[in-house]
Amino acid sequence: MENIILDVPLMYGDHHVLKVRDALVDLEGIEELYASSAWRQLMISFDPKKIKQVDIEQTLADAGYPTGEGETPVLVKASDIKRDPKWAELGVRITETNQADIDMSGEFRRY
Amino acid sequence: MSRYIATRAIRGANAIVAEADALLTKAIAEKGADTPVAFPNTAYYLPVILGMLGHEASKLGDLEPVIEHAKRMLHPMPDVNVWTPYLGETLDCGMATLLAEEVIEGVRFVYGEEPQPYPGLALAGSTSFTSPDNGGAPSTDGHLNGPIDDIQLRSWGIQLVDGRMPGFAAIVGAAHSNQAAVAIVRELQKRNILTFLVGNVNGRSMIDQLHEEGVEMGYDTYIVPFGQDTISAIYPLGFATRSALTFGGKKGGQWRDILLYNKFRVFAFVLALGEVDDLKYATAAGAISYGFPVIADTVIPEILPTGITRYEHVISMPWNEIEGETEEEKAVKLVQKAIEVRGVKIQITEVPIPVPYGSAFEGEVVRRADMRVEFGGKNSRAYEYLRMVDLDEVEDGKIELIGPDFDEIEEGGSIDMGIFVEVAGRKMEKDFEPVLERQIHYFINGASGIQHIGQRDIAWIRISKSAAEKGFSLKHFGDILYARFHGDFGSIVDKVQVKVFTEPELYTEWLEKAREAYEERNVRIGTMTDESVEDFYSCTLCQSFAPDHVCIVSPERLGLCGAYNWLDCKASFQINPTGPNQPIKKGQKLDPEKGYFTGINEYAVQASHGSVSEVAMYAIMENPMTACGCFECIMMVIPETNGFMIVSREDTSMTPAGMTFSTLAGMAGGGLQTPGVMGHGKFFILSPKFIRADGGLKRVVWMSSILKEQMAEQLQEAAEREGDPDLIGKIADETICTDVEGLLKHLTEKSHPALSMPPLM
Repeated sequence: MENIILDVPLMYGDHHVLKVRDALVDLEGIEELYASSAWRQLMISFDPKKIKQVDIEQTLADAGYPTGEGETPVLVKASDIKRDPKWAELGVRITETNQADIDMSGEFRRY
Repeated sequence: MSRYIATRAIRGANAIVAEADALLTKAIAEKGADTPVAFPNTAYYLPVILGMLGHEASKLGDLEPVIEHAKRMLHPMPDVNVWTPYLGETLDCGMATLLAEEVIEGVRFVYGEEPQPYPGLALAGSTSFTSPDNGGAPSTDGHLNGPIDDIQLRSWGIQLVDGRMPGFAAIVGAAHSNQAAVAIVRELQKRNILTFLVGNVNGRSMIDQLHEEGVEMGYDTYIVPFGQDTISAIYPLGFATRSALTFGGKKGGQWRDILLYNKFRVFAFVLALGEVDDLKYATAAGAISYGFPVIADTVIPEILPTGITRYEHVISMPWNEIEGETEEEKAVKLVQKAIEVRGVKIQITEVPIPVPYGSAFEGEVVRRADMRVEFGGKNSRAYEYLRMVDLDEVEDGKIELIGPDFDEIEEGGSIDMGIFVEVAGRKMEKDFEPVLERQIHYFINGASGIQHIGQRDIAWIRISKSAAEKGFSLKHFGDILYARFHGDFGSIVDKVQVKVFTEPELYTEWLEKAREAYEERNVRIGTMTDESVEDFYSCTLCQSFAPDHVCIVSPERLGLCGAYNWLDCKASFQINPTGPNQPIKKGQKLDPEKGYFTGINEYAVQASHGSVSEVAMYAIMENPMTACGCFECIMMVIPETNGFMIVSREDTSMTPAGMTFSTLAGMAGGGLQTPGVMGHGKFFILSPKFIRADGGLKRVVWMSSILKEQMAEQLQEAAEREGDPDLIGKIADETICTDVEGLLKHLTEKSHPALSMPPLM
């Protein structure tokens, strides 16, 4: 039995988990499978006599989930001076501090 | 504010918007931009998109500007070193996520991927997929619920506003174990909190866990399985949006009002069970905009300040750190924390019986195969009778079983039984007897594993095998009734005693006495008219949801929800003198035909905050009563026929008005006064005062067949009273025609009286 951990960058939500599991779960030789959308990783126990890692990776790629380095698409990038370009679109933004927040500030503000 | 949460929510939002964009582009290329897109049985298009943007998306092409809008709401991720992780950016991304998720669900409907298939699942009440709104697609078992339809939203309306259903919990993911899953939903059910299930962890969802444990899911048990991924979380948020549109009188595009409405009036929260991914963070950010906090059972950063929600926004309560020996004890603590964080107001009466108890069990069905014993139905008879007696005739808390219990009855067998309740109280009145007696149905049904149908001497009660195994016996009916009458009607009921008869002689003796009492009450109610009383009653129960609506309830016109008649309101006023049912002096009669009274008009102006100046109690074409959204029926003028149609909320078919109930409801609800359109209770059709000014029952040209079936005898009596015994046969229904041409043909063939009555318009 062999255990591997594969990075699957596009598996960022649980609807992808369902698709990834659908692609792999019936493959002969896959013994255990944990698909984590939180970590975007797959933990697989498989029998190398029945299936090779490369085949698993190919199945994933065919299903639209290539393994390895990469990121989910980020449609909005920060500008060179680290400004959020949306600020210019949204105009002046006013934020008001809730009195309850001020009252709670201090030890409660852990994050 | 947590940089970690901001980063993950913003990253998730960027990803899902990109995914929705790609999916929509593909769908338009494959299916065409004019392909219809809709959720079933709703007049609110794709409701979050309608509510937030005022955009009525009905075709795939209509979704392109939605995606563009979502893109404009996205932000870049906070920088690793120099970052400004403001809550505002995260919330913007949360809203972009919701728009993208609704686009994805809309496209999935186009491809027939929704509602999600789930072989082997039979829901106890679900959205109908046979409506013309859904292209007439057949309903099938073996699927999850998909979005809640308008019919169910409205039928839950009264429970949402009167506190019986104090809020809803959206559970995302899967519980720590099957046992924990059952314990959590049971805790929520006990508190009558509506439970919505979405999402999964490693492919396993709470829906799987409950299905494996045999927990019944569906509208009737307050557990709605929407879908197995987080994208389905758009359905509960669509439900929340439609609450504001339906009951709050808000319009599409009033996003700020809709979000504030939810923050202050809809008590909902999210339970995130299991690991939390980028999309769950992003969706949670969307939920926070509605004022709904998130409580997670894993270690995640928290957002503790208040403001957007009324309490903390994100709370972490790791399952393994919750104090408790068993999964059940931990579930109690988790649910209690969620309730505390959201400030859900719970009305709960402790009922000392060996099975779980709460309104959420009211709709539970006990099938024959699961049945231990039944009372009533085909092979036996059951009745229930409540009467008022003097204080010294009642020994409070005395519960007697007279005759054998069901131990000796064979499994699946039946036996005759009578439930006899005697109440006494200084404020109790004879008129309240039927009001209280009607509660027996709801009270008994609240026990898990017990099914109660009918009333009076046609009651039918089943006890399940599992309830019997847990030790439920006939005496427990008494325990339930004693606890609930004291808990719910304590201000008019001081003492309660209950006798359960299975002994044949006593059973028969009291059945005869009960029947005499039923007959006496029928005569008494039959003689009550609007002229015989000085006061009508207001019902502003729904103002927590529909702020400008007020119901006026008279002896001959019950509330439009069907739940409150004049006697109910009178009893309610006795129970709570400052509550929603207040006596209104009729005052001077201005127009007896149309039903204008000075006192009623004055009250309507004040209670509707000036939005209504006059109310005609017996007319529809002039100043009809407003409606909140919980109406049982909608009546609407069909000008070509010189008459009205009445459509029941249980009828999903097309009507001669060219609209289904869901679409019509948008015109009739929200506290609006629209001449020619009116929401009303179904029993109002039988009243002699029913649209008297416009011609009464003879003006009805079309009526949903379900109404004809449910009230066949009473309708026949009403037709005879109106002097046309064949009238009901002349009224069309959806099995005869669903268009004006067909309706006119039918009316002409049958010589319907409306055709020869004075013109309505």
